[in-house]
Amino acid sequence: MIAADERQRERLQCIRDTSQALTRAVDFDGLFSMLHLEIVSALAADTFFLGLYDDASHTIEVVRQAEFNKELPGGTFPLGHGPTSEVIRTRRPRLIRRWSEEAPRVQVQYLSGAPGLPESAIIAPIASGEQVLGVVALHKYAPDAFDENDLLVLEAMAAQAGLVLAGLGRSERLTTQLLRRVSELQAILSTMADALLILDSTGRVVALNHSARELLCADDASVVLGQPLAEQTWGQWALGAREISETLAPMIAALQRGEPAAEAEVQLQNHRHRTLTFTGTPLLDPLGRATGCVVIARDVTGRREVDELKSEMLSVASHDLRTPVTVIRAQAQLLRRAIGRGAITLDDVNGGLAEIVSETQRLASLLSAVLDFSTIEAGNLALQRQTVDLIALASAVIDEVQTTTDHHQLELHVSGSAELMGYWDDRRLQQVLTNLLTNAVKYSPAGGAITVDIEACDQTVIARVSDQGIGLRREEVEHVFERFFRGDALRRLEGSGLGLYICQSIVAAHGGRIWVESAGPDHGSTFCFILPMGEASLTFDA
Amino acid sequence: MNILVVEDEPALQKTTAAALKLNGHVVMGAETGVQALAEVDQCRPDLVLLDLQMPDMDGREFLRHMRDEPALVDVPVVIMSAVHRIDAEGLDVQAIFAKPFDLDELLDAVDELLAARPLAASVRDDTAH
Repeated sequence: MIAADERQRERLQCIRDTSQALTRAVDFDGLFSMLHLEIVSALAADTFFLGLYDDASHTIEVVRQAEFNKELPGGTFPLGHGPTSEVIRTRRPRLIRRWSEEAPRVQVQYLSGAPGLPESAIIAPIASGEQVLGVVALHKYAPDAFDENDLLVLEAMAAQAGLVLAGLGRSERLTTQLLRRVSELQAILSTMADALLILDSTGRVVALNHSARELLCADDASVVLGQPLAEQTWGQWALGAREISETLAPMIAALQRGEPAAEAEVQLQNHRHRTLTFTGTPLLDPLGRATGCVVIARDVTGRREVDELKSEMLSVASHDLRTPVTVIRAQAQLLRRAIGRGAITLDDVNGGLAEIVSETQRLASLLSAVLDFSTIEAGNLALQRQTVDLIALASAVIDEVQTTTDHHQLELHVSGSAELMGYWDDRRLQQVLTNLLTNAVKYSPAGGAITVDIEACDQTVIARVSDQGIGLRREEVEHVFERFFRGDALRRLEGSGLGLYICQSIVAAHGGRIWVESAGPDHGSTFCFILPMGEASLTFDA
Repeated sequence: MNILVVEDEPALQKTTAAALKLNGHVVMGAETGVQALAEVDQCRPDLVLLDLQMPDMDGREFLRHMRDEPALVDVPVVIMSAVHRIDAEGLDVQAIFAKPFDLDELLDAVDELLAARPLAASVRDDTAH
């Protein structure tokens, strides 16, 4: 009785020791080694088996096995029909007194020089809540080597192991998640277009992404990690980097104090002429102390250009729209005054009204130019292609423009057939030709011949509009298609500076090209455009 | 009274001139700052209507030249401008009209300025004698 009590106490102590030991495990490997050591010393066994169960693949991974204290290699096997698999499946421990009589034999690979197969076994599931995490088994070659109390001890140890294993699993899962977040963040930082700098509490550069390196290290300068920005030895040519560092200095100083910093902007003066904006956020520890900061630089050059363009557009449009409105208003008021005084003839009234009508037309064409411009800038210039006879179209435009002038002779020259069919947007082509012809009239104030030459050539057609007007200087030839461009000589004549830009956009949308030739001032100009016949079936009659 | 209309927009120059003539004034026109300088020299206007944006020489520069000339320093100038926001600072002018202006108001302002002018003109005439 005393011996039995003594034995019981030893077992309880053993459980207590194992519990204490297991809580010290910091990783899986440590846990498995401790389990092995403690269990084998508590329950003398010939072999020790510890397997982890993977619920997803229904496999058991052998993480520790030993025979007579000799470690054997592990492996993975599927859940089978032996007692070990059964324990996992049922989550119930099992005591085997005589294996050869009680349970199916399973192939045991590791028996090395042992006298036959084990006859006794105690097997306990390692579980956490409802989930089976693994199994621990002890074997002895002799029959009747274990009793119920041994099984209870193993169960208690396995339960303890289950708790520790679940805890370790959680922290390992957290570590895995953390590592994944870190690599995700690294991927984001390296692919983001914005430049990002991370600085510590003393202002030293801790990390920077690829864009930041490109931004700061143009021309082979380099950023030294662990050094404050201001102390970096920029190459003497890396002017931009110095400008950036100077702009950032007050921002970084504020962030180091844990204060929010206002957005800063710098327009680089070097050849890159880029505009950058910087935003910064302090990095705070849980107590709210600044541990560093993150600064993001964004290249807003494109956005600024669009802003400038918009305000230029607004200013040009408002100026150019005001003029015809002023004339219309003043003309109407003038007529009313004159009528009020009875000092007006029918011809005066007619003249005044004609003026109002023509200014209204000018206003309308300015408004469509503004609308076309916005459409083009928004990238929404859509063509409505159909089969068009360019010769008929040109002829109609020439007749129309001819009505506006009596000191210019507009002529159409066509080489080849009387028809030239292509797949184009007829309204837009009409707009191009009208614009080129009214320009030709406008810029040849002395009058003269204006010709439109149309020539089909292979799968393309070339149109040329020539005048004998004021011509263009070489630098004007280069810039005449730019938006808002008005040559010096042209400034005297009205125009929003958008007409040729719109023409160019329309021709380009057709897959063509527009250009101008001029022998110089007072030698006239020839505006030419070339168009592919279009995608639809070619109906050009040769 | 002699009035010079400096305006590069022919339709507007014509309309403004017609309205001034209807009020009994003698009107001269110029389309650029350079033309306007030649014109003021010749015809000695009693008042100038001036557009700001013009080719060659803009309205501001023309105004500076005009104010440098002792004989023209007191001639009232009325601005007619289509500039979005007129920066009036430093502009030595008597009135500013933003396009599209009210023709009746413009004509009233012209008449008021001319009515206030004979005194200054007579003073200068006295000193000339």
